[in-house]
Amino acid sequence: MAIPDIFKQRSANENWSITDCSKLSANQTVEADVIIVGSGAGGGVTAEVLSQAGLNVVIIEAGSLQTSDDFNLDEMEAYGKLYQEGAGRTTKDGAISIFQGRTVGGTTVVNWTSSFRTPTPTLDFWNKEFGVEGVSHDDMAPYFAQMEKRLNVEKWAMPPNPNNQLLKVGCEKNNWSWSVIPRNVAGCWDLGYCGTGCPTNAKQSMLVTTIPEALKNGARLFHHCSAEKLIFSEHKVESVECHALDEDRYTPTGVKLTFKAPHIILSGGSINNPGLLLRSDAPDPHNRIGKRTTIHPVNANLALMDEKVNPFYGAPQSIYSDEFQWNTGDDMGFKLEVPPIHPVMGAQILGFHGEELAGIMANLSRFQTTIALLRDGFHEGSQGGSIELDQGGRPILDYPLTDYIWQGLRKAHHVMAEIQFAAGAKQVMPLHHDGKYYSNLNDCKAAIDALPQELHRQRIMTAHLMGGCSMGKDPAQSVVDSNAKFHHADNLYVIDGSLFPTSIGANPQLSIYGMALKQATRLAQTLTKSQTPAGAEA
Amino acid sequence: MERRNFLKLGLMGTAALTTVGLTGSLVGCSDTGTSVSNGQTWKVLRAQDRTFFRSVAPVMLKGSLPDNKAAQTRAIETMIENIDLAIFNLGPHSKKQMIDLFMLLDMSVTRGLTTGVWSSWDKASAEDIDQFLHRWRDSSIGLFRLAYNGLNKLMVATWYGQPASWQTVQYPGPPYADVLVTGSVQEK
Repeated sequence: MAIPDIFKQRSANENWSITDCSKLSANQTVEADVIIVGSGAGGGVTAEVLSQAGLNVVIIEAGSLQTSDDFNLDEMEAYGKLYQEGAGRTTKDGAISIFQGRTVGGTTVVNWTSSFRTPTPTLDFWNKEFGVEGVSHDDMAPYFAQMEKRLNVEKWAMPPNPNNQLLKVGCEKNNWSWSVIPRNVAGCWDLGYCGTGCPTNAKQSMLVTTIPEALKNGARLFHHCSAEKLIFSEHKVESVECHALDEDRYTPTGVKLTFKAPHIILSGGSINNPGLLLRSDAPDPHNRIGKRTTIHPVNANLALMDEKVNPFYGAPQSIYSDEFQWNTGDDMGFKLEVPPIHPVMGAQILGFHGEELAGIMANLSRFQTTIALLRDGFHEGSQGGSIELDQGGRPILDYPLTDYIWQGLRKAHHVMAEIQFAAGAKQVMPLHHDGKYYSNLNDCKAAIDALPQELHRQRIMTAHLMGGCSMGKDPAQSVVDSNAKFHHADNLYVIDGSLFPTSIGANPQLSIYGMALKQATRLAQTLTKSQTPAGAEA
Repeated sequence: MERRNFLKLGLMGTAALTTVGLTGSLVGCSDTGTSVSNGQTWKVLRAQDRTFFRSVAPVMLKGSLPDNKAAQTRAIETMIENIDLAIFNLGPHSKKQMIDLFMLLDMSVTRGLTTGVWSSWDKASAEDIDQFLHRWRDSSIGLFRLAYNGLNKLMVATWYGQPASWQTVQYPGPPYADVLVTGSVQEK
């Protein structure tokens, strides 16, 4: 094949330790200095930092190992292999579609590469409302700078694709602010297939950066390995019990793995981290595990343009607007962006069938889609959702849509329609069962005001899962402290997006990288100072 | 249909949905397990569920699927294989909902009450099926809209995921396919 699969090549050349647990036939016990459960944005950075500090690291991943040879720019294949529940994950009531990665490298393998530092108002809010320490703008800046350098984050220098360009034009015509999105890519081909796994290894996901570095440093990776239970004793986690999963990525093979280490780090993301803690009956005297799970609820408007937009090609996200994000009075803030639209994504977000669907889909190449990402968790009317376990012990997100959020969704539909008509849209459709194409702004706005605010009519999705193991000073209000340590155990840490006490107000990957770098660096210092030889009792 | 009758139907339908869910878990058939039919292994879908999709897909995707009968059949059979896999990939909560839904759609009384289709699926007319889809999509009862959305997403995704659909939406397919689509997956 023309593009070298650098993961496979280095794995062979550098003799990495990778165990495909679907192939195991006997139970195993594995010991290390540190166990990291999860290999996404939080786990990847943490594995790199701790392995560089000389610690013996094990990384556990429930998903499979897929590398650039496996990324074939194919939606069906990628959704099935790389996403949680085959990209069919939803909230408990089924009203919100959830796009979250499940593969070595986690969501960083399938995200659209937008890389924003955590906005200062968000950091300040965490400090003021939750007593989170060491997260001022100045405290965090060096960590963001280091991760930007590590992952080659730069504002996208090529022209935006037409889908993004139209967002820019629409904002300019309304005299609203916009800016260019920084992306974590190196030698990007401007293809548009970030969501199906980068076939050229240009995206600087954990799969091609921190995980290889950790493996080079001797870290061991176990995939097809699902963390079922943490075994607690007194104030410690003694071990992590895991099930090996079959090649189908979901069925337990019957083989069990037990991981033991003096220090355990959860990096399985929102939804799965709280799920593991709840399954393990982790101490939770204030009933905080799984609470304050935020998602940036997303709604969308579809615009039909005269000219070709080809929303399936080109860097998926390169322009955004924060015109309605901050200083919005009592209104819910939101970020405006565009999604890439390939045929499956395009058809799925519509909610039509028959000739109506065929008629709309026939013009896929002329779609301009704008999305609003609502900033949840900052207002009494938006406290996030909560994680619970279903009958099978699997985590599920109960996310209530409050009046406050409904108002935010409606306002976002209005704003997006104004942008799209200003950018030259012939027709605009708010994505809702009762929405259709409207050919002028007034009709569209009147229709938006009349849309019933009901579940399973309004199309809502999320690709940003945050919170559930909320960080804070007060154990009555939070799950971990400012250094990511679980309040109720001495050797358990949570490092990833699940510790954010609110949503970010921007695509969260760089927020996770920066915070993980800060917390893992501090942890490495603590652990190497107190370290006794592996296997010896402290 | 009169609105009052429709509401009554809806309420009975909700009761039916609940009953089916309960029955499913009581008799232990909430997880159908794998079955083999004509050499094909099915992870979730039963023969009657596949019949449902064969009957409903041409209506759900009217105007999108190929007119050529053989090509259409091929497309639908590929859809059904991928629908089986997609449901298998779901977590237990969503998977159980889908399996409950298939039981409701299979039992004649619950199917008739909730969908208005009283004949078996393979004998139902396209008009009846279209009416059922609209009825669920626009229902005042959230559970029916949820069920419509679930069936809709499964069918549109598994059709528009097929290269055969792409020219109908002017999607030229992946760029540089000769270089970037390695085929390594098929080689395994």
